[in-house]
Amino acid sequence: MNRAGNRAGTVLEALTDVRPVLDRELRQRSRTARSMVVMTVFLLLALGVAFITYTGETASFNSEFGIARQNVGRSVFEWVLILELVLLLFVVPGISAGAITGERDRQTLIPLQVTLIGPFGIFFGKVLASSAFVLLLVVATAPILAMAYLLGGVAFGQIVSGILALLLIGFLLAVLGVACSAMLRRTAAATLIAYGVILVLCVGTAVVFAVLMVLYAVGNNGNSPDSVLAYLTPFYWNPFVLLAGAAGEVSDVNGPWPLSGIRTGFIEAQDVNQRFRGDILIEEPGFAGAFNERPGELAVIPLWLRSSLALVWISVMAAMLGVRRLRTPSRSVSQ
Amino acid sequence: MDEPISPINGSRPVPPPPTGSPLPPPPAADLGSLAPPSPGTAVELIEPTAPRDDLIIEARGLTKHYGSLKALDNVDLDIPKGSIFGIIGPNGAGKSTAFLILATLLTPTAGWARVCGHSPMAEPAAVRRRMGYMPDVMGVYENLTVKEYLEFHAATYHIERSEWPSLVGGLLELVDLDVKRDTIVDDLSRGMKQRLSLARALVHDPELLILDEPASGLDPRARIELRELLLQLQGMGKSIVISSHILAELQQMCDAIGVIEAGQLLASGPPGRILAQLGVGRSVRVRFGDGTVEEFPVAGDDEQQALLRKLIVDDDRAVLEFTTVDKNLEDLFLQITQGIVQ
Repeated sequence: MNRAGNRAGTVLEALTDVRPVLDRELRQRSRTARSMVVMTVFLLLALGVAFITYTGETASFNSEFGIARQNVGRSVFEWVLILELVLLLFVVPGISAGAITGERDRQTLIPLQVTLIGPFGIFFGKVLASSAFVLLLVVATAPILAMAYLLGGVAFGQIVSGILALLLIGFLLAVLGVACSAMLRRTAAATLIAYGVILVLCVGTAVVFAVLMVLYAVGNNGNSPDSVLAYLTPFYWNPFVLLAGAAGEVSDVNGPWPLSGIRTGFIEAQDVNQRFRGDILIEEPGFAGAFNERPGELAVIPLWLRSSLALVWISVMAAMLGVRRLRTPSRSVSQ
Repeated sequence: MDEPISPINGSRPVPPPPTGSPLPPPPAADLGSLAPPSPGTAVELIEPTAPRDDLIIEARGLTKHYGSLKALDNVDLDIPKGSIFGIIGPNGAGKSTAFLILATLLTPTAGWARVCGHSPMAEPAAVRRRMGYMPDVMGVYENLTVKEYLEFHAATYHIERSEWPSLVGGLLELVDLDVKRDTIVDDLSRGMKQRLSLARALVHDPELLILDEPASGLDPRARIELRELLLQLQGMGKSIVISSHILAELQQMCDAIGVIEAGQLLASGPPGRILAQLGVGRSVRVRFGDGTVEEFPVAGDDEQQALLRKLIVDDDRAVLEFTTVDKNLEDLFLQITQGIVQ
């Protein structure tokens, strides 16, 4: 009881520690032109993609048919989300990978480390400051997504899920960026490594997935695959998969929609598994299904949850390394 | 300050003074159960002696190795409460390493320290509450005003927001920056930045200040102002540990000094006493009839008279001029240290 109380006190103290760093970061960031420029470019690009998608869709379909209007809304929604994710993949490491190395360069890290703020406070103060900027960017583009809702084909819940998925990905990217910044001495190196990790997550997982599928096709000669889902595992680490799981559409597989395409691909893979193994798939039952697996039934945790857990796991590892690097007294002090 | 000179530490012998009695040999430090230092060994946290109320800093066998480099080698320190203690030494001597250990940032390879009654390794938060550290370079946040800079650091010490206005106002008045409260920190002069950095170190009203080269890069006026400020802080009951290259400054304000080179503490104690014991305190410059000038170190008046008698009577030399030269901390520094760079 006492220990639990102490732990709760420590956590509360750590959360209190976050605030001074967060306050200062936000105050400083609000005074630079860079934030405004990034936000303006972000909004203009989102508007541009929405406009191009809208004109492209309306030119392809006859607007007198209801399905065409539905496609327009879905297309705008998915392509704007994809663009936002791509922009976040570029922007977030750019702002977060310099968070700690910047303190070292300015010689402000040591004065901060001799205060009562612990490594957790420094680390997550920086993460939350970067995440706050992500929040600003995503919320600023929410009206464009709302426009897609008005065009039809997108449920309100999917818009909320899409926005929440972007915020989660933004937060996890910020954790990765700040962790790189804590572990490396120079901003350039930290930024490079952060982008490298993201490249591995986005492209590397797809390559590994493709290689595994080829090996599977060659090795099985049409025999029963033990687990097609196992081959999909690398893909769970991909932020695009998380976004697809949260905002993609399963039932309508005919449209040229990137997120729905990814999500449908996963469903088809599950179908393959079902055909060969005779497993009965429980479609997206949530957490309960994951813990109530019965013989002959393969419980399916929602795609967004599987992907979130995979990415959260990486981020937790990165955060632990980053916080550890900031802990003092340490065997060496990087100035 | 009638304290005897603290132990001269380390294996390297102090160069013998030209005249006068040599320093006493170093007594063995009380290392208790400490293991012999070796590179990369775990930090030894055992404190074999009971805390002493009269000391603000106590360290025994403090050692820091970076691979084969001995940044700090078996250093003992006893710094009394309420004093200003100066640490002098060439670049790379180990001053900053010692400060980083005492300031809870670096773990020693061996040895232990007690700062404000607490271990910097085992109880860093307790030390941080009582100690203010000013590194040799002041970091600057862009786009923050002087007031905001101090408010931020007040928040980092969990000081209530309601206390900030009076706290910041008082600190700015103390360091004479109250007219600059709304100036962006980066726009301040170097001297002002140093004073602001000192105000930052004082934000939580610590009992000890550890100042690494605070006068570095300051013009003479700024140095004098800083010295006055430090003496004022001492008058307020603060203990101060300071390193500096400007030895005349240290001589004027320090109650005691420590001379460090190649990671070893070569001497420590009140400056006047070290000067006297090393025989660096006084010398006489003699100009002879043949135009030559020679300088002879002397321990006191008796020795000075004996020298004069010897030159004139025994040696039968024509003495045209006989001048007493008082030596200072710089002479002491040059005599003790050998310019060893690691």
